[in-house]
Amino acid sequence: MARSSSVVTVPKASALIAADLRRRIVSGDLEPGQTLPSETTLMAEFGVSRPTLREAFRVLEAESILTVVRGPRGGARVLEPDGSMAARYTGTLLQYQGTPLSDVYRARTELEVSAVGMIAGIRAKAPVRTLEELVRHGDAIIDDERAFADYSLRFHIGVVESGGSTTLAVLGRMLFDILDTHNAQFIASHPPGFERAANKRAQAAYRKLVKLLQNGEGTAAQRHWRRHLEAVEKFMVGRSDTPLVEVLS
Amino acid sequence: MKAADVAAAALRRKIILGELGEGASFPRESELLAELGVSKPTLRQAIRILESESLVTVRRGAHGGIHVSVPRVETAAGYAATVLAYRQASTADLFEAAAALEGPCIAMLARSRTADQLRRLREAVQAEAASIDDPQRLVLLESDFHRLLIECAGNSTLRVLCEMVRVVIDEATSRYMSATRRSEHGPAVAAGARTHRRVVDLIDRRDAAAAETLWRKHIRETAAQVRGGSAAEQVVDIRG
Repeated sequence: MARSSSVVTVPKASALIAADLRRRIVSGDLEPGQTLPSETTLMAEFGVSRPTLREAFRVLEAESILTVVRGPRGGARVLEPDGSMAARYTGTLLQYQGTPLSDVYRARTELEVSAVGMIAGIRAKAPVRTLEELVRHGDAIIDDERAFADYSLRFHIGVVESGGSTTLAVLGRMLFDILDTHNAQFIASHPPGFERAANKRAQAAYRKLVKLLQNGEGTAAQRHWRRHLEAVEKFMVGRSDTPLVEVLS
Repeated sequence: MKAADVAAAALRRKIILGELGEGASFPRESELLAELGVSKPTLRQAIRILESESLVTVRRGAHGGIHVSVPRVETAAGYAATVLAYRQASTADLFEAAAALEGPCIAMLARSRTADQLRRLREAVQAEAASIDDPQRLVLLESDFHRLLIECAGNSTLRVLCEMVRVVIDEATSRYMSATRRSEHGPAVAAGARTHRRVVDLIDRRDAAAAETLWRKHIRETAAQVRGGSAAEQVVDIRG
């Protein structure tokens, strides 16, 4: 019964087919929304049996880049690799590792301060202008805690994306997913209006960040942003070292 | 939340808390039905959710069964690589993210390093020095050294993010190694090892700013080397 204790059970043929289809999806040969040819056609193309093909589909379904719709109008449909699966899995991994919530906040601080340094190093004005545009939306919603949380999230995403690294933006989104979940719980577990003063401080901090970047004061911008994010961590986490599992599961 | 989501969350929690370890067989269906108080179709849907999250593998057939796959950083890195390939992130972009994530870790480590950590870092640097004439081996040791630094920095979230980037960088590096001659990559790899020694000296002195600056420069130089030596500018799916 040694076989049943092994976790790696995917036959080689299905792994190869999954890899082939995955490559077609990430390269854009197969586009999101597109339906794959029928099972019979694919079985002929790859020279495999139906169970092998379906095993390959299951692998790609687990990666959220394919969905198999049953029924007469069904078929295997391509999904956009949007990072949501990567984010969800990373959240589970961090919980499994016993990561405290404060650890995630600290990682976010370092990641964003690095991104601010990258923005400051770019000669073009467009990234700062994007942030400037974003900041305009904040004043009107300062009393609406959920709306302000969404706006805040957009601003932080804007900071990371303006740094110009796709990789950093993809990884940053994983952390923001977690922090946004925590923020929603934080709002729900406090009386209305509890976040108002903090939101006002945040809006002022966003404005100042934009101003420092406009003036080309990169080092000051990084220092300012670190101070702001550390204050956010203190407000959101306090002294407790709640494990992430209590937030996400 | 639907009943299946609630049941999936309860089972997921067992895996996260380590009540069900790697490779463990799932409890019998009848046990789970009683414990969770759900119907059979709901339980099966919940298992399907966990399967779609790669937390269990379901083997059909006579010798089938449900087995736990605990979350692993390699799996997370694979998911990230798929997204990065789809977004056409370049090798340069990848190294830039590595600098943005590893740089702060080095500064954190320089401020908080213990005598024991310093000893481990020195040992790693000595192992590199001993392999200075064997680029193929040295490049692996250098990758391990990056991991050791990040581990010692002590932030587990950054460690996971760094590892995601490192896994894809290792792929790019190995393409570079096989696409270039030893006379070309040998000196570059050896120079990397010397930089590692210098960064440990700075960490020893608790000079966080200098250590971070040197580390960022080191990653930039490696990026230039790897890009110059290989035509493979685009990130390639690591599970291809």
